[in-house]
Amino acid sequence: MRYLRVFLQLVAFSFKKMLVSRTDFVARLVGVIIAAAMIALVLVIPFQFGETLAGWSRYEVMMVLGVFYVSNGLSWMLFREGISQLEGRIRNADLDWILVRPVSAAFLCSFADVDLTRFTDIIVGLGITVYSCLAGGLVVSVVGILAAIVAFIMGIILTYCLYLVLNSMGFWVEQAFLEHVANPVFLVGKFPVEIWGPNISKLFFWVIPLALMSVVPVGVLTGRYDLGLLPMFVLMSVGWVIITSIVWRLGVRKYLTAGS
Amino acid sequence: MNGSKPANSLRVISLSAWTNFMSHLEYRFTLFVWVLAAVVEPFIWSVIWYVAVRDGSGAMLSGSQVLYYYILLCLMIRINSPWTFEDLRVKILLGSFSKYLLYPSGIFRTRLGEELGMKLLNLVLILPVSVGWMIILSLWGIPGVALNLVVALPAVIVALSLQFVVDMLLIRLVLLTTRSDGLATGYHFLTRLLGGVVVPLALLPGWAQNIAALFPFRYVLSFPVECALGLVSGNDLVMGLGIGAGWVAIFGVLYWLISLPALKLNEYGYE
Repeated sequence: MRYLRVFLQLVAFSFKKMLVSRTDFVARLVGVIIAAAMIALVLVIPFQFGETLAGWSRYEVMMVLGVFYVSNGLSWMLFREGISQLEGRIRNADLDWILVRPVSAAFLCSFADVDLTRFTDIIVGLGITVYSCLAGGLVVSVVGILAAIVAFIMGIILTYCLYLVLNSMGFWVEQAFLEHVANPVFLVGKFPVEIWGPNISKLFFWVIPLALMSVVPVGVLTGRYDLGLLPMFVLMSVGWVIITSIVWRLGVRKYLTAGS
Repeated sequence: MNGSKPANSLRVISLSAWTNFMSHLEYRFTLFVWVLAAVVEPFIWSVIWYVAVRDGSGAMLSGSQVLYYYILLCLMIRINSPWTFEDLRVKILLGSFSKYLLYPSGIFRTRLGEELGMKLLNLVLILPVSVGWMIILSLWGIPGVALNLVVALPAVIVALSLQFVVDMLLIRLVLLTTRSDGLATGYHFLTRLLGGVVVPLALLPGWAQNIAALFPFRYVLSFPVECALGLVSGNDLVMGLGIGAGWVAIFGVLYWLISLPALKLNEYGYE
């Protein structure tokens, strides 16, 4: 409950910040709509050459894009903005101020910078998802929707873990800037991972599980993927949470500042 | 020592290029990450478009051409990224831009030198990766593509000149408007889309290709690659070079026009 209260305070603070710069919010919304429209138009191009892309229909691919926007927007809104500053905090010894606070340092580092302007991505993503579902005449069941929500939540958890582990490398390597590699890699989630062929796509399911950001939720929603996979994804998420926790603890133990 | 003589200018440019090149070599792990980051996005797009072209029919490019397009584009992105703009806009925001105004050699020559140093560094880093990428493709049995690098050379020179002039102009715009993030995001997005990163322009419908041909973004990244792959020749090549050079001239004049007011505004402070 204490963490929930702290989180709500952080959200309230972010909301006040957003109210100060309302123009930025509107500008961002317009920018995201234009960017999403452009990418949606680009997605039409592969279907000029064939009926499907790696076995996925046009509207299924568009739905993957929509869910990616929601997932990506939500992760940036909640934790990626904060985590992306971790390396700088370590380098400048600003982490000291977080470590002495009476809440978990990992929690504070992750959620200290809730960015509500990213809500624009979520709105646009939901729009694309609903449109592609209706326009493509995709039939979805209640079980499918529930399974998609579970897969989506697992995807958010795994994104959090991957991003935190990657940025925690800053504890060991100075000026690693690994997020510059991570951010383009997340591009994989915009398209069906089957594009990568049977072997590499397994990598995106089970090793670097970017497929869970968007492809798996759409896959279970449309019945393309077996629902029996879901418990394995839940187990994998638990495993990643444990790994992330270990990496974080080792990193903090390694952390030195001028005063240490 | 105001650097007005050509020999002085050349000395300033070469010295600042070499200093920049050597100082970046100190951060070797960062450079490794940098190379990795440079390759990831073009690699992902190359696979997506390769699969789309391979599984379909009627595309203007073959699968091999798509893959080689992205290898060369990766090279172009690295040697022609808007590094000066990204670097100076941060310096403007942090207030450390003023030091450039105190240099006796002037900002244009100093930045030109630093820019050349960055290009040399990027070339040294990314060229082996590109060659390695081509070797891996051939080992996978993907047929090679004949590259006409001589034809591409004038287009590369136009691209480098255009990027540098655009960078300097954007910096002046940041000084005038103080809206750095919006400019950076807009420029980045348009270059990615109309410069042929998100999708090779040759795969766009005819009308979209015609629109993209009018904007400067194509001549910064995609055009030299198209020339090297033999997708552009004859009149189209001459016209493309002409349009690219025309944009250099337009942006050069704009830069000259707003340079002084922008610097004065920066010097005396904003309202």
